[in-house]
Amino acid sequence: MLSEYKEVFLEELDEQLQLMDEVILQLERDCESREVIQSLFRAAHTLKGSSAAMGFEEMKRLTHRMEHLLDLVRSKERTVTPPLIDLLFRSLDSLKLMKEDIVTQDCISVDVSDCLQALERFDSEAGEAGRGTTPSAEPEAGHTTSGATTRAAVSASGFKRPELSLSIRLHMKNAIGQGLRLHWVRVRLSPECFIQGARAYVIQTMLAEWGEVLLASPDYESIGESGMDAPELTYLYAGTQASSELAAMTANLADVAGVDAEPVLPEEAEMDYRAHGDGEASTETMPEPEQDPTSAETAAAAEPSIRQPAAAPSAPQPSAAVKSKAQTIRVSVERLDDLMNLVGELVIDQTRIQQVARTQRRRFQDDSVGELGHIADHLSRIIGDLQESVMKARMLPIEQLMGRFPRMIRDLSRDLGKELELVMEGQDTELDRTLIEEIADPLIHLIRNAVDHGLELPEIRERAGKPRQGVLRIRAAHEDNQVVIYVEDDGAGIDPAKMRSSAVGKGIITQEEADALSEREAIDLIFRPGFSTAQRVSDVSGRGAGMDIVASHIEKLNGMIDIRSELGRGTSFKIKLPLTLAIIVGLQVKCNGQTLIIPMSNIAEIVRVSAEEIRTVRGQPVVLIRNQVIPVADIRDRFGVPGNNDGPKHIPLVIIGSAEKRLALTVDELIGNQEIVIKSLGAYIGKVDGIAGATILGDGSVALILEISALFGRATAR
Amino acid sequence: MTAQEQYVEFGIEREQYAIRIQDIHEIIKMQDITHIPGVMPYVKGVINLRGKIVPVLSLRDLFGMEEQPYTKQTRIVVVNHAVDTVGIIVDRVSKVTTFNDIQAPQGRFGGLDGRLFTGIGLTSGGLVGILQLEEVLLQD
Repeated sequence: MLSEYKEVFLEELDEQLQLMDEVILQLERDCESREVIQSLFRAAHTLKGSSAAMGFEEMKRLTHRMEHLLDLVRSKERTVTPPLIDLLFRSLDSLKLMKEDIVTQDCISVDVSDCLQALERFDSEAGEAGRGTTPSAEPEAGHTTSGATTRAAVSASGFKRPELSLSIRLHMKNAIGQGLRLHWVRVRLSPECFIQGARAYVIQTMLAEWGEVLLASPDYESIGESGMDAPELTYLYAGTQASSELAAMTANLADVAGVDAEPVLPEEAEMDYRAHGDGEASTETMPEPEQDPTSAETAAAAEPSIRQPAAAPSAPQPSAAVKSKAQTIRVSVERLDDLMNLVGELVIDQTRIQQVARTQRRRFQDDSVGELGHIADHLSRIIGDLQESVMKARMLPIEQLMGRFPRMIRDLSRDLGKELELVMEGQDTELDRTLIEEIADPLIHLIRNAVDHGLELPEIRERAGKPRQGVLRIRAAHEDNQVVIYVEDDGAGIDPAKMRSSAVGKGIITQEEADALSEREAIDLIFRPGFSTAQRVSDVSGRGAGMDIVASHIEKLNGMIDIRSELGRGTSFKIKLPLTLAIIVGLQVKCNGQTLIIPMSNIAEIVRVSAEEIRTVRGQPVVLIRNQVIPVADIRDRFGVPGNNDGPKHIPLVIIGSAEKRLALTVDELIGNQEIVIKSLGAYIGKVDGIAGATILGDGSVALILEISALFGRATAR
Repeated sequence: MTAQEQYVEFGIEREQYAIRIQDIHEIIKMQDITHIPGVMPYVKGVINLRGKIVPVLSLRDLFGMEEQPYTKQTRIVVVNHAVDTVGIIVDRVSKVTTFNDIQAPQGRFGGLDGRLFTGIGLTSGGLVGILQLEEVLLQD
């Protein structure tokens, strides 16, 4: 389910593990470096956060332990010793093993209990050491802290100061020693903030980038669990900025409703400084005697098990590492676009070569001509593969988009008091990334509509003899080189009679027109601008933007939308989209000697009818195809080309569709399908009504591509 | 403008015109032109210039002269215009030349608006109108 995040997670994991490797080595050489410890701590912390988000509990626990231990080291409650380094390496190896598991089998089967125990032992020993040697330090520290807090509260009312632990006061002292300014930063999150924990994490990360966060209260991890309404986050921050600067910087972050920043009062710092004195003395002096036995013991305990995880994976590790590295490369979309353009040029030349080879074959009987044909065939196969590969490189699984739906639908159904089951199929269906972006809005709109208007409330469903729980089904699939997305519900369906009266009531059509509409046409009224059947405007699907927006979106993408609805049984939307926008399959047709191209994704069907079958209804030529009345248009009329009326007995009709509309185009001749590259007519000519662009045909001539949506515009304008 | 700049001289009807050589992309023979319905009337259509779609105009049309059937001498002068490439159909292309004497355009030149020209080149063969491409191409 989370597979798209998994790749990102693995990338990050790789990075962080590598960093840890380097940093622990550094630490081994230079035990005192605060920076090194800090970066190691950060790495462990980052991994803790991301592994928790991904649900890798074992990894979270291990990194949490590491983080805790490193925090002790950071606050000098524990010194860096060889056993500690060993233990860190051992933990790191375990993390690496976990990574392998995630790569190969998607879950963790590494047993890390030994490692965890060793870490815990280290922790508690450190704690014991601390307590044992400085019995006075802890209570005194607590006392001083509370003293500082109350005083601060008096002097700068409004700030609830979190308790300052021994290690934090040490950091404060260090920061002051480095000439940094200390601030209290209080951030109020906006009540609309959705994922408070994540937002708090971002804020803390940003602060940590500008300076150093000594203390965060509450921790971003506890925020997600507590679910407060508008949480306030308090940070103790050390940096070079003034309070006002800091406040301004923080206020710019998203979802921040308000920021207060004020310097830590001198007396607070002073107090802390004094408190420090004790703490410092204790850490410096006391771990010394206790340390040797500790380290000896841990070393002994660690020794055998370290080797185990480290030695065992040494064989599979390289291959796995290579595998995970080779899996993803970040490439800018621009490069892919360039590549696509170049392939487009190749596609054109390839069709030309094919054509030349054909003419040559007709003209000459020569072996070399036959060979040319073979080469041309081979070339077109390769170019076809190349084109497919490049197209694939631009494609993403629709999961990227559909992954958002479960949460959205859960919230929606709860808000609206509906019970529903979401069924999603075909998440691995791939389509062009630009299309994924473009289709998101219309799709979300359809889903909202389905939940809001389509599915009934549980009680109503029960009364209608349906299960309380409605079913919303979202399906994606490839069909004939196109992407088809269905949004289906088993709700109330659309009542054609209601549609008619509503449309008349809103002045969209006249009563006469309404009476003439078939049931399907009445349902199609939903796509008319200004139409909305919902009695009330809810904040879910109301907002004035209706199905017409959905239709125009899909029209823009050269797609089609179909609606099927059965009263009481449900509604089904079918969206058909081209796989990509750059290269399309087009039908070449001839009209008066000029070749025109109709995008295949806009073609509903092709039929041949006799001239008598085209009838006239109120001055508009129409044709009846499977009980659907479709208006007929002659391309030659549209483009002001004189038509020859002594046409053949059977007229080829290309039935085109744009969003929900259908139109039958009469053409002189059908030539065939071909992959074509859409080229613009250039800025000098600009946008021409009815022309989507041009392409270069096999014979080198330029053919125009019809803009289907504009043809409908013209048809209605008439 | 230096007098020694190079120009490509070409003609329609009995008149001679010129364009600075650096504005010219290339000169090609007449091609099949795909007509585009609904564009400005002086745009004859588009051609395929080695994979690029290039609009083609007729200088005769631009200058209000009657269209003549294309001959063997008919050429398309492809010029660079801003980011675009545009082809201009002329009756013939004569030569690459320089002008020793260029005069500022008068109010009118042979019945055409003087703004269409950057200058008038004087040669032994007569007067040559040096086109101000921006003005010529942006006609409405």
